[in-house]
Amino acid sequence: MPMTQTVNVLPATSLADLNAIIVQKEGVLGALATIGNAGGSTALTFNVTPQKPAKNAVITPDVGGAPSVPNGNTSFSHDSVYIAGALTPASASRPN
Amino acid sequence: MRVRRFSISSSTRRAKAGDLRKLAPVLALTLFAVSGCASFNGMQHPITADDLDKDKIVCPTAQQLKDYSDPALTGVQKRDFRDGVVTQCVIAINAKYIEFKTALRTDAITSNLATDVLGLGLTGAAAVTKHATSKQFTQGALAVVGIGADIDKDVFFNQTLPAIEASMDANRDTLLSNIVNAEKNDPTGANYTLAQAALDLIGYQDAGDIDIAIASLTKTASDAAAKAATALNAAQTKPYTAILLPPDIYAREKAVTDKVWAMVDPADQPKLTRFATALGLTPPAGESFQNLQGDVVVAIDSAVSAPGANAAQIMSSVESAYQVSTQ
Repeated sequence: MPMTQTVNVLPATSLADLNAIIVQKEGVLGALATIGNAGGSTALTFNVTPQKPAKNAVITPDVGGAPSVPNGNTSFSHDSVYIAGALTPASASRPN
Repeated sequence: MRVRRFSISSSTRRAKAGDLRKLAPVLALTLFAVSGCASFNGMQHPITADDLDKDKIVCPTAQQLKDYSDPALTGVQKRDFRDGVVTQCVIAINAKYIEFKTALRTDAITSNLATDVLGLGLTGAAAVTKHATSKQFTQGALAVVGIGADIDKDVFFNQTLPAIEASMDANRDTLLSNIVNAEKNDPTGANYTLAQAALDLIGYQDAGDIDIAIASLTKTASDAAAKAATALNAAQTKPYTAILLPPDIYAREKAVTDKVWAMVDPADQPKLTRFATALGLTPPAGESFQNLQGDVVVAIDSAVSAPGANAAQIMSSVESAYQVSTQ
């Protein structure tokens, strides 16, 4: 089982920056595994491995109370994260 | 999920007798392996009568010092006499130094490196100079310092010995430059006397010493490690907060971490362990290579991407520590 590491992101972070942080962390640590929140921050948990994902994960907020995942992506985690200061239900997905 | 058991080493830890592991090295930079019957001579032999004229025991000799103090010897002649003696001594010391380096390599080659293993984990210059075996390595069944690396000839010859030689060379160059500059700054021989030069020549000769070389290397590595360790997040087992990094900083971070991930077990185990230690991590016994890679990468990322951190400065420290640890 790979080692994991949770990275917290400040709640005021925008959606664009949140996804940019995911790109950076996946480039250094490894693939994003789960999203969530803890202690008033967004909590992103990564698998720490030498193998980096070919395509980066992306977080998308729910729309109309339902998960919204870009076409061609596969969702792998759903929870509430902070987007621009608001706790928002969202999905984490990765392009196929 | 695996629980990591890393702790940040403290520079305030002090060694306890009889337990090399408790030296808690800031950077276990230097490893020596010797056999039970062979030993290294850790410093060059001093020049003797055989190296100069038969009636000379040291350089400069007592007679040369006496001649130099002759009131009749003044000005340019006094300077020339001094410079001539100094040059003669430097040549003799250099010859001995070359012999010493050759013998050092030869002794190591003829040693049975696989038999008794001596590991020196060095916290700083003080630890080096107080460690008797660092000058004259003796037989013993001392366990290798706690990095879990097997000592082999490649490690010693390709990394350690050249680094020690380079350190000795650098120390000698510095001291010789000081001597030459002192000569230049005193064209009449009135201020930089032959007696003063003699003291400097002793220092120059003593610079051909493994102790001093290791002390210099360790200090350099320790300085780099201290900068990095100060910046790194001490809480490696808990989540850390990260912000979006500027592109240039991220590129530097990725460059270093990619190198860490590209390391291969077991060939790069010593380098990885040294780097981890330089970053302030204390790898537990039995730590897998990949988990150690991960811990190093996490340590770097947690430090560089922390809100309010001086990311550029931290990356410079990390890069420096990497360079020192993997040279």
